[in-house]
This record gives sequence, C-alpha cells and structure tokens, in this order.
Amino acid sequence: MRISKKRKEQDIAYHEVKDYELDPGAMIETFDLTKIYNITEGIEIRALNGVTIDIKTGEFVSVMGPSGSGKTTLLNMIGALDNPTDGAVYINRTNIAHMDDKQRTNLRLKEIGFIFQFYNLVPVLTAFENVELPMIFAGRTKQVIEKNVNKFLDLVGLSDKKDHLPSELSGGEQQRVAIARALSNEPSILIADEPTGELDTKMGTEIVNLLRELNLELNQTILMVTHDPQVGNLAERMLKMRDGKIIETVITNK
Amino acid sequence: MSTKKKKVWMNKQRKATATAIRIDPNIVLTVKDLVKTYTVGNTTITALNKVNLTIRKGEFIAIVGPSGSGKTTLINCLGALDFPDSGNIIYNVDAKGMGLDIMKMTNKQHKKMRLRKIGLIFQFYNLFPILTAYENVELPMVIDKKDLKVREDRVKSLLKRIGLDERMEHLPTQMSGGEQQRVTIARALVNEPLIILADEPTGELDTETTTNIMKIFLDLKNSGESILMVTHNIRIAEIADRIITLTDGEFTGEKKGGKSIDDIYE
Repeated sequence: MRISKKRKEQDIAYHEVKDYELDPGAMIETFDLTKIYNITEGIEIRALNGVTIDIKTGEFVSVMGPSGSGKTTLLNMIGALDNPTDGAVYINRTNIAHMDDKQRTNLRLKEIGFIFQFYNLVPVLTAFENVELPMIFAGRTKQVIEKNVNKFLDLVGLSDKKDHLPSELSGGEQQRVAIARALSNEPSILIADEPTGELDTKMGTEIVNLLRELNLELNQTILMVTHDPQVGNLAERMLKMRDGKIIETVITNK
Repeated sequence: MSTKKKKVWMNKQRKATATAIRIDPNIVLTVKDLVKTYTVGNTTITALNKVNLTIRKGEFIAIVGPSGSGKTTLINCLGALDFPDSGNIIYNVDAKGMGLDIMKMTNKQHKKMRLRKIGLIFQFYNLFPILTAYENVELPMVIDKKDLKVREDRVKSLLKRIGLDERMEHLPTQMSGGEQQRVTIARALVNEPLIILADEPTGELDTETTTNIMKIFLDLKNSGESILMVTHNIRIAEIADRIITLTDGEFTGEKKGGKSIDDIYE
C-alpha cells in the first residue's frame, strides 16, 4: 500500500486502495463509493453512502434526485475533481486512486469532458478561445487545436459565432460552446452536471438532444446529472439517488 | 443590440482605428457621455444614460446601486465585454498619457485590452473547474503566449501575495468561495493591468470572507492599483475613496469614502 506524502498532506483518507473485480465492458465503475464531509467537529455529512455503479462504453446514463442527494458529489468523484473518503472509481479500468497528480490532471483534460450548469466559460475569452483551452493545457499542436475548435464549434452549430464573447451569446449558445470545449480533446467520457439547469424548456431540450446525437452518432459515453425528470428520461438508463445512495435504476428503452 | 445593429457596429469597428490622444498621465480612465440601450421586443431599455466618470491612478472607486441600475452593464462596457451605443471610454494605455478610446478600437485591439490592460473580477468567480488554482491564474498569460519562466514567476508571486501559495495545486471544488475569489483576484492581476474592474466581488460571500476580500482590495489600492468596484453592499463601498450612486442608468450622487475596514460595520 503506497500513499504518497502529498495525499497525506491533503488529508485524503485513502485508508487502503483495494482492487476490485472489473467488468470488461465498463467505461466507468464505482465500488462502495463514500464521501463524508466534516462540517464542524462532531458533525459529519455522508454525501455519498456506498455507491456502486457500472456504466458501459457508449452508454448514456442520467442520475436523478433532489438537491442534496449526492448527485454532484458523485460526478466530482468520477471526474477526479474531488477525492472519496472510501471506495473506488475506475475509469477505463484504471483505479483513479492509483494515479498521481499529473495523471489525474491528464485524466481531467483528455479522458473526461466536463459540462457544468453555469457553463463556466471564461468571460474575457471568445467562443473559439474557450474551446481551445483544454487543448492548450493538454499540449496539443497548433494544427490539432485549430482543426478541433472548428470541427466541434461546427458540430454544435456555432461556427458563425466563434469570435463572440460569452456575454454576446444566449444561455443555450454558451452551453453549446461549453459542450464543444468538453469535446475538444476527444474524451472517452462526457460528464454533464445539470446542463439544462439554467435554460428554458426549449433550449434545454435542444441541449439534451445534442447530447443524444453525440451518444448515438459518435458512441460517446455520457453521464448526466439532472433534477428534471423529462431531461433524465432522455437517457437510456436513469439512476435515482436519495441520501447519498442509488435507490432505483430505470431502463427508459431510449 | 439586435443582430442587424450589431453588424453595423462591427463593420464600423473594423474600419475604425483608434487614434492616440494626449491625456493627463495621472488619469487611468475617462468615460464621457456613455449610453447603452437594449431592445427587448418593442421596448427600448436605457441601461446607461450619459454616464461620465474619471478615475485617477491609484484611486479606488465604488459604484453602488440596486440590481437593474446598470452596474454590470457599466463594468461590461468598460471591460470591452459589451458594446455601448455612444460615448467615449478612453484608457491611458501606456500609463504615460497615451489615450485610446475603446469605442474606436478594432476587435483585435479589444482582445488585447481584455487580456493585458483590464483585470476583471466577477461575482461567480468564473474559474475553469478542471484547472488548478495555479493554472487558472496562469490562463490569461497562456492565451497571451507569455514565456513559461515569466509565467511561473508571476503566478507564484501572485498566489503568495493573496495567501494561497500552499494551495496552488488545488481545484476550485476543493476551495471555499472566498478562496476561489482570491484566485480570480490573482488571475485579474496576472498581466499587470491598468485597472481592476470588479463586479459584485463579494456577492456570494459571508461577512467575514467579505471583509477579508476587501482587505485585499485595500492592500492593492495601497500598492498603487486603480480599482473600480460595483456593488449593492453600501457598507463595504465605504472603504473606497469615492462612492458614486447609480440609479436607473444615471449617476445620481457622489460622496467621499475612505473609512477603515473596522469602522464600516459600526
């Protein structure tokens, strides 16, 4: 059992890194994933309470539940944006806990594309520059960057707005830019946290349909969190969460 | 602005080239008769109505007003993120008295202004969640193609200055709101801008964290930075040198501030 000094310093409670039996067809697997936040001394919140899920390559899965049910915490663990208190996350059959900081950064930049509720675009950069960002940080060549920015802005239908700033775009357009940015490094997985949370029904449906197209045409694996049942229903499989646990799995036959 | 109006504006911008004018070297920014309207359906809303403002080097100005008074529109226009209908926004671009009007700049010049001359701070931090604190601060320099060594020195010294040098490898999700806002302050300073423009920088923070962020603002002012902050929090505005009231897109009052941070909550 090797726990790096840095991890210890960051106070991450990987008491032990167990290895689990894996499903060969899975893109994402979690085992007994648990996250405990210590609010003040003696008071702890169990945001995740033993979550085990298995998402296959090319699957479109939604996670539904009321606020506080642990949805975003689950995404943050799978996306290596936060560390679990216990349990394990495997991406492409690799245990994230075995990765060092550099490998995790690579995972976040290249293997996973993130889409957030508030778009999180950089306001002083144009659509083009926002889409460029993950590729610049991943060290891609100028040719690849130029090619992929154009390709993905075209895919989301915004090639005529690449010089626009986020403040000049509607919410739906900003989320499209965010989707192009998430796709820019051609990741294995797309993770979307309430992607329609700030949009009206029409724009929201457009965004989810775009995600469905990506899933059907490019076989993109997608994990999406939402509290909207209509949005959640558009995925192939819906996981319902409450109090940090998966309480039900619904196959939607989509 | 409607798409048609926007196109006309953009074409006008493309043809235009800002000509330098001599201005008082001690003035960072002069705003003259700034007007900005929005058209929603058949209604035209005047967000800014002939706003005039002069900011001297090292001055800390707070603009207060309720929501809808035009505060964010003003910041966006001054930050070259939005496009006014008319007026002048003249920056002392070389800090020696060479004045350039952003209303007459090309798109390329706007981009340079945003990256190098203006430091923007937002209410919701707007950090890129998958990048560490270090990378978020470094970002404008990466886009600006600055040398690696220059970037490293600058980012490290700024993170130290705002007290987050121990946390540079942390992601935004691992930080509190106050810490995230400190990262955005460092990001705003990274290219040594002429002015800091802050839009409700403490809007999402509790009183204690707000005080800490305002201490950083005062520290920046004391080291010579020029700051324009818009806020609806009239208490924290008292620490600025001047407090200007914005009502329905017009400046309706001005008073002296300069209170110490310990006095504002009394």
